[in-house]
Amino acid sequence: MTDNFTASIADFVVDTKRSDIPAEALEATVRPIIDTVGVIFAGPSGSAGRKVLEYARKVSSSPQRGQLWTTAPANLPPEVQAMVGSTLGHALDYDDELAGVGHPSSILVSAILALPCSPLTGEQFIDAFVIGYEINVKVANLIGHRHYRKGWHTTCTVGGFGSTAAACRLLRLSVEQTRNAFGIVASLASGLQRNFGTMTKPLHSGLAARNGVLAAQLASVGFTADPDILDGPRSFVDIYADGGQHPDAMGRLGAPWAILDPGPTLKKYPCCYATHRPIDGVLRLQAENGLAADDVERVVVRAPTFGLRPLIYHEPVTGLQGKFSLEYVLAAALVDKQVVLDSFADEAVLRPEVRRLMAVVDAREDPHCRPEDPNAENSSAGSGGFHEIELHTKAGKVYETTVQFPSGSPQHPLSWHDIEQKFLDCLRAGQRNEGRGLKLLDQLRDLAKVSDVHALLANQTI
Amino acid sequence: MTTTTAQLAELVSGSEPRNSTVLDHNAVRAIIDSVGVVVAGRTSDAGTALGRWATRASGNTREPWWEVPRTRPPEMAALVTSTCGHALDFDDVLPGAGHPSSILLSAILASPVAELSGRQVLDAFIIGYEVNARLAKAVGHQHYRHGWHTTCTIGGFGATAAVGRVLRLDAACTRRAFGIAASLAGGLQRNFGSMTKPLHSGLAAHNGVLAAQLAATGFSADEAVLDGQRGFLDVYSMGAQRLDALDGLGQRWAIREPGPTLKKYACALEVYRVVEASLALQVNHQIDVTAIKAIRCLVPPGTLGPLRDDDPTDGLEAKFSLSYAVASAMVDGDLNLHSFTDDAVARAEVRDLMTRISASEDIACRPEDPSGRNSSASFGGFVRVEIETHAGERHSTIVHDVIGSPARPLSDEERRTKLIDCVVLGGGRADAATALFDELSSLPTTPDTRALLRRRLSSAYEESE
Repeated sequence: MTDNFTASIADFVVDTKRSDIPAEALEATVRPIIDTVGVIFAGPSGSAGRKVLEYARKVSSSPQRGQLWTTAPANLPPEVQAMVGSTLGHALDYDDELAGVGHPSSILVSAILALPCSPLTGEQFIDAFVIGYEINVKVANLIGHRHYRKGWHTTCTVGGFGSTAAACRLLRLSVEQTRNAFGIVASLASGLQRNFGTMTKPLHSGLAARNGVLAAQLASVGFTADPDILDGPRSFVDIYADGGQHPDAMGRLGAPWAILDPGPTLKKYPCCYATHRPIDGVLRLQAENGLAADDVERVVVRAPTFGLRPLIYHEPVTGLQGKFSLEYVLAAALVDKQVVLDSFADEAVLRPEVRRLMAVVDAREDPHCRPEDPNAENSSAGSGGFHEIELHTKAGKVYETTVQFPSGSPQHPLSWHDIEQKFLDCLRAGQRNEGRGLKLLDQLRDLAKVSDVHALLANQTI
Repeated sequence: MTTTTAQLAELVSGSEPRNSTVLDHNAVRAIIDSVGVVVAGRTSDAGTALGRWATRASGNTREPWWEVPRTRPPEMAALVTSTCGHALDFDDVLPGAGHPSSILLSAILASPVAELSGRQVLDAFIIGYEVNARLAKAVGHQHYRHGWHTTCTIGGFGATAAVGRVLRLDAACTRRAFGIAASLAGGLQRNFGSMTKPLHSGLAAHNGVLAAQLAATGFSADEAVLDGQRGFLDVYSMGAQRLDALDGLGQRWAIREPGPTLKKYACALEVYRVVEASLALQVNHQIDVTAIKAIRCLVPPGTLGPLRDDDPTDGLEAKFSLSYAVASAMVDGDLNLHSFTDDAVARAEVRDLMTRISASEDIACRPEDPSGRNSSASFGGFVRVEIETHAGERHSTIVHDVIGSPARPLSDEERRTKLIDCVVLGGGRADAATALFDELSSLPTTPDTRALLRRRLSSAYEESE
């Protein structure tokens, strides 16, 4: 292991042998990959998904619909395919997540599938995914959390390093080319949280996938860049960590593998992760005590410091805004007793009975909810600490609960049944053939044995 | 009080086309210069690598001028074109803003519209140039000093404005286009001296075309992205607050004042004044290269920051080497496009002279802004060069304004020669370049700009295939 971060990650991408990767790590990729394919299927049902496909057809020279499994036209350059794919994947805020890192899986899946590599065996897919995931997580750890607090969207800025790693691995680039690719992708890094609640937020995921594909392809044709872009003055770390870097992260490359520890959280609800613990709490209290929405007079949420920061809409008027509104998701949960894709139709957000309940949600941050890091110096919004949720009824009763780990987190993983239900919800939202879709899900469960992933997905075109 | 985002969007969507011969005059000069450097840039390492990438997996005919298959998305054409435009570090400069012209021209010509009159090109160019200049001022110079490449980060907004103007986006749509462009803004100076530096110019053009197209499709984004907490300026300005950045918007135009600086030499502008001073001393005092004991350069603070390699191993690094530029100029009596080939950089005579050249920053050289905090590297103050011979003679001189700047503009003859040199380097014919110069000089009345470029440049492009 060298002291040079850029060399460390490039060596890791190029030199890690398949046999160096533990079998459990390879196996652990299958759930997030399936989950990602599902949310990409559902992507066109969101406004950002519809619009990115419209754009793709506009810039395509043969813009027929549905030529690819993503429904994008087939003749776009790989980086545009990657951008469209991962914008679809993040369009519903339903793709998986990893605390402090963002949403790597959609980015990686979209980048890998966009690259010209035929056939693409299931083993290659898994291999590129697990390497890309590791680099994405460890570079995010290296950059630290101050980066996000300053206003950048880590999914986008750091996500490009993960997709670059996956692409370089898949294209079998040399260490030198891989270092160049990281240099290129550092100059592509961007993405502001100010765009949350608009279609540009999912675009960030698409851009991260695009950036990796673009950087790796340019490096593969001999394009040069600074070979030490993570190191020294005015490096990516220097400029984007905002003084909050954690150099020790590099020592943890592959030790443990991030896909195993901490491991991804598959989202149970299609909205901002910072709402998941409160939703769990409200649904639990409601079910345990047999409460109707009408019984509720007040909802109190105490969140860890920083836990409300991404929830910027208090009076959402679109489904997309509703995903970033704690008031809306809790009101919808009370009325519908579930939070699913249909909860974020634009009409759903405007329902009068929901609007009434939104007004009774009282949420605030409380440092005692994050005892290990009261000021959230190193914590992201949706993880660490716990949420306290109280339901006050009109009858004067108060029910309360505490939620530490949300459904779908490594501590409470989704069951295969949950995963299937989510996949099915996604197939329906995307108006896809359910039978063929579920068959694909079965085949993907044995991803390592698939001889050509592209051929498998080609059966899913509409 | 409207937001910065709204004011700039209003300029793009609401302002009347300018019909000013003064604005046209400067814009035409910048556009002709940009055409030349794009054509020359296709021979560069970055240009050829991108050409390989763009045409890979596609048997389609390439479009002359931007060399990207017609079947590729327009933003790819913008990316390739403006990367070529910056690949030789020969495109023009706007102090504090970087290199907007190649970006704007590339983005405008890649816009998804069937035909572009010269008038449309000029109108979009002037508007894009203005937005680029204003935002560069708003973000402040600390942005660049921190390590971002303003050409790329801010250039994307200028390109967005220019393409938005071509596509006739309304104000709300333009604000959203700026929102998208803000999430595309990147570009680190650490990549200087590699092919990724010119890529920054390509990316800026690409980002503008992408952002404007997505917005035109109905893509949403924050509508005041430049303003307020965690807005673009908050995150990228490093604390600078330039509240006067938009003063006189729509009345004063950056294309006129200060106006572009066209480059005479294909290397970093930071070395120009030193090169010019050295050449002047050599000529005036008849100094033979072998007689030189030392060349000492004093430059304003901030000048040496962007320069990065005093032991250049190839032509690209040499463009950022002060000692190489001076030594090469002294040996050849001039700097030209051939001074920055890999072979030229290896010349023993030049390498030997380089060891006798030193440069240091001196606050006395920038009396109006001694720390250089608000100055871009090649402007303001003066340089002083002293040559000492083995015989013990010392000669020194001072240069204030950089050649090619508005105070000392290139002559028409110099500009024509530059275009011809560039086109010939790019594989074209000198007579076609001469005709192109004359025709582009009447750009305000050109019916179809792309057809003009195709007509005069296609022979070069076809022959080289």
